[in-house]
Amino acid sequence: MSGAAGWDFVAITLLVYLGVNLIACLGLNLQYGTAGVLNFAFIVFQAVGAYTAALFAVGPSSGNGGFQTYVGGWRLPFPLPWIIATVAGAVVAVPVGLVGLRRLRSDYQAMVMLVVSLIATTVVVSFPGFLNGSAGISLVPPPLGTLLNPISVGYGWMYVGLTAVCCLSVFVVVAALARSPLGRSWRAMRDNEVVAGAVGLDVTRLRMLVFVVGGAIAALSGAVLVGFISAWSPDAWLYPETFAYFTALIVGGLGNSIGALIGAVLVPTLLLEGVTFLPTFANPTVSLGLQWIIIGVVIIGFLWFRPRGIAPERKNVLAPPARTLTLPGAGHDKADMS
Amino acid sequence: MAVAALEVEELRCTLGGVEAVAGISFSVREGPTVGLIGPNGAGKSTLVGLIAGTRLPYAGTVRLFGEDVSRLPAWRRSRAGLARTFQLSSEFARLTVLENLMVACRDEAGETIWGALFRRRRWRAVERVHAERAWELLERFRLEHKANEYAGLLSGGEKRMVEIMRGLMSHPRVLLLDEPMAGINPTMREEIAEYLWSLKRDGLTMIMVEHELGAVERLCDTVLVMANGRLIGQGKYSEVIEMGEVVDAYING
Amino acid sequence: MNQFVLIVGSGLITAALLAVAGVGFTLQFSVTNVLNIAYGSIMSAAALVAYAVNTAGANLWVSGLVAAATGATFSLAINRGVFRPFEGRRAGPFTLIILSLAISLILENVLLIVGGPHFFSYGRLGQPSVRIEGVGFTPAQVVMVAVAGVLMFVVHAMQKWTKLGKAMRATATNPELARSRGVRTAIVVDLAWVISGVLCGLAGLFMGIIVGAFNASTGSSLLVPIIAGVVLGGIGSPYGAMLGALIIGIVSEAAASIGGLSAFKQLVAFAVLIGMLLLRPQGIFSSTAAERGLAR
Repeated sequence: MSGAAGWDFVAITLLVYLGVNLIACLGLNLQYGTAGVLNFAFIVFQAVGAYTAALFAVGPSSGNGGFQTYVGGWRLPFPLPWIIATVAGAVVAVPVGLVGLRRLRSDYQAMVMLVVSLIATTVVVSFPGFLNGSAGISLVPPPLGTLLNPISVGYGWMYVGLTAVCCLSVFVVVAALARSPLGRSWRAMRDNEVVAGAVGLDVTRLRMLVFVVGGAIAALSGAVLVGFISAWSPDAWLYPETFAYFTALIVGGLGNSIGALIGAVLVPTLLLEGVTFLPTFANPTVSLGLQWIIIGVVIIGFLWFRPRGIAPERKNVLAPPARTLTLPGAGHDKADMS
Repeated sequence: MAVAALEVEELRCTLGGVEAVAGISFSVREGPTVGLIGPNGAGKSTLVGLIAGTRLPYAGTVRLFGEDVSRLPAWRRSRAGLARTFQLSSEFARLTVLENLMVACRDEAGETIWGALFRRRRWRAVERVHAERAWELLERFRLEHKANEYAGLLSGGEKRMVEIMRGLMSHPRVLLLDEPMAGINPTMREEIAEYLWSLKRDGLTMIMVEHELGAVERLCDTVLVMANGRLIGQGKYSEVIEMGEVVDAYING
Repeated sequence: MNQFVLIVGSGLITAALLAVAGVGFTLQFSVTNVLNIAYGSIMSAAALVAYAVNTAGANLWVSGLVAAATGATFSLAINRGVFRPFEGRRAGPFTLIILSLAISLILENVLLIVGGPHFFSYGRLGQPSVRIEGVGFTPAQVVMVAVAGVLMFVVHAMQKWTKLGKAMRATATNPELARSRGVRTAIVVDLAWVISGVLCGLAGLFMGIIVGAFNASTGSSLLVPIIAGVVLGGIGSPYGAMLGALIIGIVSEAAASIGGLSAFKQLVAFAVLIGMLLLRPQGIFSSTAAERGLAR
């Protein structure tokens, strides 16, 4: 393989990972930055999307290399697995959301979500017939793999294009939601939940809605990722992964899509993925461990020095209605009302 | 006989093992301003919580214009016409003043996922109406220059006024004020009292918990006195302030 | 072999671990209002340090002391070094729990680097010489249950009869009021973290003994049954933690024994947690949870 193609693959990989992380960050930003919902089980939803997309793209387990056991295997063509995966994320968000979102204090609920994340990996690992346990699902057919040769550079750039389309769609949806009355209600809930109830907001419903939308977005990110790396195992979604995304948001800036982009570039992509392209330390455990230590330190540092992040939320400025205001106090003539 | 605006019957609530509200009953018809006074620890805030829905009683009923709301959560009571303010700062700090006001208005189309994404024209139109009303209120309370300021950056008195305005945005039928004068400097208190008086003149039914007796005397038609979770007096300010129990419990207690 | 004795016996052993851990966890919450996710990692740290000391030749009692000291040191350091400064800046519960997660990650990965990725095991700690109805327990296990029982009694005695216990309860209920009454809340909080750190460290040692093989992440995975027990009993209440630990311990062992899969232990603990949250999120002894507005 020529050197140019080698660099192509580096760029393609980084861009796809950036896209995946950006989609995930946008979803988490909607939940945490806009609505103030702490979803410490976020990565589980990405996993739901990845597993679903994988299961709907592979063939039955007996035929797929013969060394994996899993449910499903319906061999559906692209883009069906991705669409189903997104819906799956929304659907799974409902029972998970019901459990804790109703009447718990935010950190209490977060702790419960963390436990959910812990138990989810335990379940998958302990019941190998379900999703092939700790080995995970592999040999997932690449989307559109019959159109272009999946190992070619052309396919790689096409995949980047696919990822970009997904990113853009999510970006548009999130922006539209944030600007709407729904977005404003979410932010009110974030700022003061009890008062939000007092002004007529059904906080329970609002929380469930953002949980479902965020879950769907997370699932989409999982589908895009699994289509690229063709395999998915519990190692990819241990509970600290959620934390990497939280770090991205806190660094980049909460409640702001640009902040999500900055965070997605700096934290999961550069720090976690980009490092793998550099010459590794002698010991892979050390380099992996160091990455997480850096993430922990970065988060504490940012929470102390710059909790608003690099790009804080922008103010929503509204213009006065199209008429002249009457001035208060000392007897000015009233301007004509149009 | 017209339906009472607010009716409370044998309301009971325990807090930390003690009966904070021990069987309170009263009725407020539409129109007047009712004051609620009493020493610290009398249970006034608990009672406010019970009426507003942030606390649930273990016995008794709360009726809003005849409808039993005793078990309804706060948001339903708000939509049924009961607005309330809080004793401590309760603005949405990271929303602008305008957004603080507009969030109190319901917008059916804009508050569903589908509506937010696909019925933009519908909710934009409703938003315009709400925004107009917000600007009107801001002008009335002389805070239009702060419209696009983050509510968290306002002074205490300004926040309190924003809160009252926010309560008004939904065209409430009853306004419950929890110590509106608390923590406000005397000049601002004057202003707030003026605004409350204008609301009173507009005929809004108000229930006001307050320590500032001057405001109570000036604004309230009837005064309820609470001590140790019970109502110990009811009547005009001038009558109530003479009652032996009130002097003992309130002034000296 | 009498299955009932097996279940109750192993249930008590697990409960011993969960009770010691749970009481420490709930104490930290009760006094500082922080849900300290790093608790599991501190347990792992104590377990590894105790193991190192034990491998170097010390007996289990000395290892226990070392574990307790490790737990206390880390806990106090974390409270003083991280939580308190942030609380001084009026950080909310969100921020604090994210911080505790950050600390957990840092600590666990430092342990991973220092200790290596492999698992450690005490192996067979003596013969299962204590035989009841055909079921054998090793002396280590029996001693562990006894020590746990003693610790629970000490905690109970401290809460009820000592000045410190009263001061801790006062600080937990209303710090400003306690301060105005002359309670030196800063010192009380420090002591609470030291005490809970001791419990955490000992729980780490117990974990090393009970669990077949452990590494830097074992402590965090044990958070599932620990939190389940604490939530079941009512968070903030030490007696709740004890009761919850007992129930979770026995029920999860029963499930594993009857169902045949050891994974059932975690699953049952989780199921109990979810059930509790749906039915009565404040837990059995609910006063602290209710006061702090954890659940309505």
